[in-house]
Amino acid sequence: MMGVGIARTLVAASLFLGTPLHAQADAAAIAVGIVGWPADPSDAMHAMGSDMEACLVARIVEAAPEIVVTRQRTIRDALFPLLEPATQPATEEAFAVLLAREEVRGRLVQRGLHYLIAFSGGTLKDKPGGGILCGGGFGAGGCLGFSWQGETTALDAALWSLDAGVRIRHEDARVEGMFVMPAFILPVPIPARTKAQACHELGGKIARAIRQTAAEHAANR
Amino acid sequence: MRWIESERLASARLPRLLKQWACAALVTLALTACGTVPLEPSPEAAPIFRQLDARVGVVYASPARTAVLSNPLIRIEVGQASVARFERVFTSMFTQAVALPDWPPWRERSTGLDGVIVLEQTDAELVLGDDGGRNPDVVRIAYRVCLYESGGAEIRCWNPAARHSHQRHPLECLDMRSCIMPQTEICMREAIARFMVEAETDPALKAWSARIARRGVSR
Repeated sequence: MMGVGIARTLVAASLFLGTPLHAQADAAAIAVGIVGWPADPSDAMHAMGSDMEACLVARIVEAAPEIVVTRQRTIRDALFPLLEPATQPATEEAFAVLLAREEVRGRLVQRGLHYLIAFSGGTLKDKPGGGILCGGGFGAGGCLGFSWQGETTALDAALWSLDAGVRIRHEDARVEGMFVMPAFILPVPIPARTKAQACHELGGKIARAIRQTAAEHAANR
Repeated sequence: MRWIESERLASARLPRLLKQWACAALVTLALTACGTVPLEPSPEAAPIFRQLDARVGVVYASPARTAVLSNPLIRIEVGQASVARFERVFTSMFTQAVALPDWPPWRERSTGLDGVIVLEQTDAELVLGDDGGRNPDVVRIAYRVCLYESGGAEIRCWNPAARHSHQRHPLECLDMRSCIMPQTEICMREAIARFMVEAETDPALKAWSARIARRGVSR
């Protein structure tokens, strides 16, 4: 029994690794949904679409063009009123119970979806340090100084199988960076770009996870 | 000398003309912005609800239908948009939802239905902030929905509400509608979602549904 499992995994891995990228791109589309969960109830607007969602979708499709992503607005509309920020499940167990509901799974599968990505996370900023002084007079002016602010973006995503109603993968990305602003006559802000880096990293991981899971699923059939 | 005077007159007239044009342009812009704004239609898919095997009459009371979010800059007909959304909600909640006419009042006649659900009140409030960073725009929507026995006895009333605030950034909302309308939509959506989820697990609603089922069996 265990031997069969290992053999299947090997077949899936060989299918996944042995297929050239262009051939993978030509493979049948893998339809997935994406949703920010848990959504911040104090910022319900974000739950309808956010920069992070757009970034992740773009990165996933860039990394694996065969993946077709259905946006969270469509998912929330399809599952209304069960996945609104005010009514969403609070725990992972409750989320699993929601996905196990026949009407819920039916609505998603009806759209051809087999996987659902639930992502969360955000950016934490440290206290700013340093200082910049600006002044002017007699027809001239300028700034002098140096300031900085550390920031950390931590994102995570769970990949749920809609066929089984269980979480099958978990991926995360954590990027630390520093926003700096040297000022010599003019202040020059240099952003930390932790959000973009974390999104790029997580999007790539999700794309690989979906591709691998779909290959395993195909091998198990 | 005359020529100089006429030139002065022309130069004096020019700013006045410019002012008139600017005023006209501003008034036109303001009138365009003041128009009543229709809200987006509700999503295509019917809301998810464990449907109750009951036939109900549906009434939208006047204070619920006519609620308006108004401000010197914007006017949004929240009542009409709410009614459109609740029509879909009630259709998904009950096997049959029949709109009852305003007159004669449903309490004064036999409806032959299992109950009557009434959207009694829609309250909408808008507090306009600014883009200074400390004064967000706030939208609040609240409903009162009541379910009655066909004889008029109250089974249950719900008062779902939602509030959304958003701090505008400088130049974010040159047209106020682009900021206020999505907030209004979100509030309506959240309040209706709260109502549906609360109603789905409501013991009074379940007991009423069980009574109807027993009556159906005994018939």
